Amino acid sequence: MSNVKVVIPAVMASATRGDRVIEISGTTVAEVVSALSARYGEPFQRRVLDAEGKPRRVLNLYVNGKNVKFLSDLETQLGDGDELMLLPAVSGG
Amino acid sequence: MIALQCRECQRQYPTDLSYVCEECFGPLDVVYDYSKLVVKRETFEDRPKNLWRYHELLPIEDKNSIVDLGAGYTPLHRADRLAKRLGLQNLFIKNDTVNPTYSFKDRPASVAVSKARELGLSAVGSPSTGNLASATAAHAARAGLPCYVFIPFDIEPAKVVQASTYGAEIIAINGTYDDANKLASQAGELYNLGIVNGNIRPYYVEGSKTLAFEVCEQLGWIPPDHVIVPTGSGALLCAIRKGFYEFERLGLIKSNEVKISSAQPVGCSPIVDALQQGRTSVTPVERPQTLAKSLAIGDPGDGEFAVKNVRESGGFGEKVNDEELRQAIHLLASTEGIFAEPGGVVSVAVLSKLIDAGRIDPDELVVCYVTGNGLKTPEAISIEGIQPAVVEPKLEVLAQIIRR
Ligand SMILES: Cc1ncc(COP(=O)(O)O)c(C=O)c1O
Ligand SMILES: [Zn+2]
Repeated sequence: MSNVKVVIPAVMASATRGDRVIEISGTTVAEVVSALSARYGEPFQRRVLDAEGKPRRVLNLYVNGKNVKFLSDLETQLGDGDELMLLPAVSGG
Repeated sequence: MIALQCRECQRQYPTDLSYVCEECFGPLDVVYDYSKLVVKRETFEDRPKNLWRYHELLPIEDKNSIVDLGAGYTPLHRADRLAKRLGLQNLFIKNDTVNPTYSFKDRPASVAVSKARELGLSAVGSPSTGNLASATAAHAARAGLPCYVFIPFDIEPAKVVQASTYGAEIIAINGTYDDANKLASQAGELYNLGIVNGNIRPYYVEGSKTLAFEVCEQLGWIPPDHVIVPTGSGALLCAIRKGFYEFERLGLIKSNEVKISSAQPVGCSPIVDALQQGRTSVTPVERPQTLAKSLAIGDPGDGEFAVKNVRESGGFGEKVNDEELRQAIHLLASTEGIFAEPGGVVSVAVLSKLIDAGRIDPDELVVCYVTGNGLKTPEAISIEGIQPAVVEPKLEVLAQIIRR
């Protein structure tokens, strides 16, 4: 198990009862996401995960600043001290 | 404007600095009470020739907040010479290369910076592939607000010169647009910046609807059959569709059956690829590679919504390579006198391809949106063959040159 830091922007803190920096453990993004849904329950699950338990397309996940879509998605490995960040997936060029 | 509304769950929010739904993290859009809006065709007759002529349909409450450099109401050219070359009968070019900072981005930037002023923000910024940088910087200068722009390090030099001359702080990122976008989003929250296409995005996109409004008005209140839209994040395309919808909803045009086609460059075509492969989901491109740097948005924020809009409208997605972009620049300039950048002319290149594929009827009324000026990207044109030979100032030499 790696100890990971999860960073949540203010606009998404409704999913984590206001917590913005969370220490949690897991070896992949999937594990961390399910640990978070265990900790924060339905309010987290409903906002962050779709029916199949995958992160919803309205948000992006970054591991150490890199979008997991360009890594191994949910299977992206996490090491001790790695940072997982959530951000809304919006913007125009 | 009555509220912000979540695109996913329809929950409504007050019109302040929110951009994400608290309930489901969906993006928020501005909604109006159309039944209460009294506008007729004549309403607009004596209005100024810029996008603020449509202020009832723009999300600014107090006219004193408006930051205006004259964006919008750009020429709609009947393009008969180009039409003839392509085999069409009713072709128009919406020439948005002649906005105050020479791209369509002045439209959303004007609305967003106005909103930043209305919300009392003390600084603005944007991540940009180049054009939005200058549009935000110029409007910020006009409003007297500090401006921070986040750009990929390798955009065209002229765009950097332009944006920094307006006084913006340029943050050149060792990475792609998506990296710049992520950093800008974090900076917006940390430093309380109004990121025009981030935390002010719901208002920002409203500015681009005016590209649909103007085309209807300039065609004598008749909507076109088909429009072709340069596409990066997809925000422009979705805004144009909303614009046609609103004019129909308000009874300003009879019906809205406008086909909307998306034009992207090979090397960064996630939206077109989804359309062509019949997918609803958009697969991001990690390292975009294209001459059309202004469209190098690998993970388009409005990608899936754009795909849906194109499909529902009956339009197509098509992509073109760098060489086709260069040819389109020359073709448009030499037939119609309009000099565009690769990202702005991709609509013309795609039109030509759609005609070759038999997807456009010769008598369809087609509008190509041309969204960025050629002077921003002189390096896109190959220099050989353009540099003239230097001659003595003597009449004799002209005999070789002027053949008539
Ligand atoms: C010239 C030009 N045309 C079109 C676009 C596409 O706009 P959007 O990102 O809203 O799809 C951009 C910017 O991204 C641009 O700079
Ligand atoms: Zn919602």
